[in-house]
Amino acid sequence: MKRSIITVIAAIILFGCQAPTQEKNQTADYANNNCYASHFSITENEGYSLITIKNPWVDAENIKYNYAVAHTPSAKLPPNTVHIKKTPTRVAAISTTHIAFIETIGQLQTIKAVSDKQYIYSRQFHKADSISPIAEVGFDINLNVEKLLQLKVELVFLYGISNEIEPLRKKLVRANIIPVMIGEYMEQHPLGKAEWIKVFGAIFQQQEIAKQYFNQTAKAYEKVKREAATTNRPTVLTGMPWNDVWHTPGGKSFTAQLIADAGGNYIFSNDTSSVNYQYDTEIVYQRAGKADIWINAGNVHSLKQIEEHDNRMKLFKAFQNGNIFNNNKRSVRGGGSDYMESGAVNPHKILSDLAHIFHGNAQKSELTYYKPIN
Amino acid sequence: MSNTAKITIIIALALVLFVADLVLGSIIIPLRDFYNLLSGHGDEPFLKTILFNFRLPRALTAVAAGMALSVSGLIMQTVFRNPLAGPYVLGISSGASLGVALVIIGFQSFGWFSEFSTVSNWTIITAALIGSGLLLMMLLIVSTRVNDIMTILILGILFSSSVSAIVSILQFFSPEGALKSYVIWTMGNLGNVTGSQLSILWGTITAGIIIALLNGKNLNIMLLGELYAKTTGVNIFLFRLFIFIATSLLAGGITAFCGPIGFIGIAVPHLVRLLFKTTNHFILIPGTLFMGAAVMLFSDIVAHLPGSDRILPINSITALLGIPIVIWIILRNRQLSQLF
Repeated sequence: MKRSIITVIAAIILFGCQAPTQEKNQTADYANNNCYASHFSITENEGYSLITIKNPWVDAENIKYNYAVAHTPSAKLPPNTVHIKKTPTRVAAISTTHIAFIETIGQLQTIKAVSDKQYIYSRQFHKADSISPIAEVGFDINLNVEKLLQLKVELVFLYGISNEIEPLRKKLVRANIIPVMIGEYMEQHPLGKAEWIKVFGAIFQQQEIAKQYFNQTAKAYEKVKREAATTNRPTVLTGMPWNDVWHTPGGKSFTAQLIADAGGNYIFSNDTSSVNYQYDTEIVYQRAGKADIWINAGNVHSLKQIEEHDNRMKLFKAFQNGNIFNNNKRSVRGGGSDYMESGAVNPHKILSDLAHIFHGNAQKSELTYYKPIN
Repeated sequence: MSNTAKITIIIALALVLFVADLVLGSIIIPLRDFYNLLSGHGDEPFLKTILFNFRLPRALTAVAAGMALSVSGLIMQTVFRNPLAGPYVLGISSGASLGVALVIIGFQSFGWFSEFSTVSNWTIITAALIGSGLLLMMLLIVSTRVNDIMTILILGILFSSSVSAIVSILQFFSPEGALKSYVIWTMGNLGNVTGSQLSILWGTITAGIIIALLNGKNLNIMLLGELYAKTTGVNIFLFRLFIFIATSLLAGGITAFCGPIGFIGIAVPHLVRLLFKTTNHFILIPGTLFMGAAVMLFSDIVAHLPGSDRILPINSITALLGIPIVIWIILRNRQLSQLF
């Protein structure tokens, strides 16, 4: 009964996200199909798409950025919006997730600058970089605007973690570079994060590709979720302590959602926050010492590394039973991880990994982002 | 009240706080269970793990940190004849910070929120030791050419500032995750030292305390001025060398294992001087040892907000406790220099 209700709900949700019917105006339908994301909206208007980015950082209140993307060079764009008059051909992608979005819609060749190449996993990116070197322009609020100008970058995909990003954004505007605030990391639903591909699709005029990709991803995600919805839910612990403090994702976070959808029982699911909680290691031991499975244990690759980090980790049941799985199967020497990068556009693959791990198929199946820690 | 009585009271206070630190936490261990666990009769393996693997190492680290920072603060105040001197005036914490910043920012991946660095504990400890050791060595080399102790104080501050500038540059170019890991390190921590690390930490600070005690007589003479000390036959160079070694063992050891912990080193010696109304280091050193332990244990209890799931960074608590003490001392003794 429970399962059939879930199926019906999933079908309703999916139906809302389905590709538009033939009779409807395609672009209009695409625009109104925001199923999971809540920090942006796209509306289609005569001659232009209007993208609104809302509250793209944790403490943001009533912050909105409006971008009007012209469909034709002669389109009349509304005032009080940032005008994107032509499809950008030279962009900077400051977060590695931006690279994944751009690559997925087939526009990797437009990336001319990034923060730091050593953190990037994408094989395609490094291939492009080896043919024609891509520049590095700094981190966060410390971007080198003069270098961006020299590179003739037209548009920068930015992210902010607080309103400290505002001076940089204004500086870019003064330099005639279009800053686009991307807040995909604010989305708590994994599909909400992936849905940001529509923003990239609209900016690069690749709406159809973006929409199709998202619909397929959502379908695949919901399918895994339906199959994983069993009564046998293992208890799950995440993270690693740093300086005796354990930063655990809140019960409404992206990670908590993934664990629940993959059929796991997250130990800290009762924490109502969407951001991280700080716990003393002692408290985590109290609550999660007997947890069945331990995922996302920092950036370790072996049990020995965990022990070196904090030898009390041996006391956890998941450690003793060898049930630790880390999301760093695909990582680069510089420390970057593809889980953080292409994981944003492939939530269905992350979910599938977790479902295999939680339901005892991890050894038999090929995992994408996760690997067992031995 | 005699000095012996005062010391006995401070030791008793430290002992009570030690037990309190063990039983108070997110779950409060009833005293009966605590007694059973200690006497080996307790059959609650879960509580036993909490007590012996989590709380006991932390409380022992708190005692070590309180003792080491307070004593090194005391000897620095005496050597520099400056009431505002503390364990870090020689640049130990800045040197350690540089070492740790290099390691954390060099190792850290670019990730959001939860991806904290898993640089091993020993790497951090070694980096901090090398950093503070190098800075101290530079200061020692320079001090062989300088006679005036005030010049050394100023050089120490200048070295620290330039090292901090390098750390700022590293921070400026560091990705978000690395920056957060580093900032958390600077907030100090007592709960990270376990097993063999605890023995090494205690070994280090015991050596430091012994050197300080052996120099007790010279420290007393030093209060009368370096010139007077010289005329009484004190070898100033050797004395400074010993004091620098003691400080690097005490403050350097604690900073390497627990991160920089502020204000205890400045506040506790003043508190003890006022309490004992003496300048004799053979009384001040033991007094500072146990008072330091007591204050640190109390800070640790407060930082763990007994009964709640939350914790606060230890450095904020020591500052919030230490600053009122310093203010109180300044207001009570308008002329602090008279205490020296």
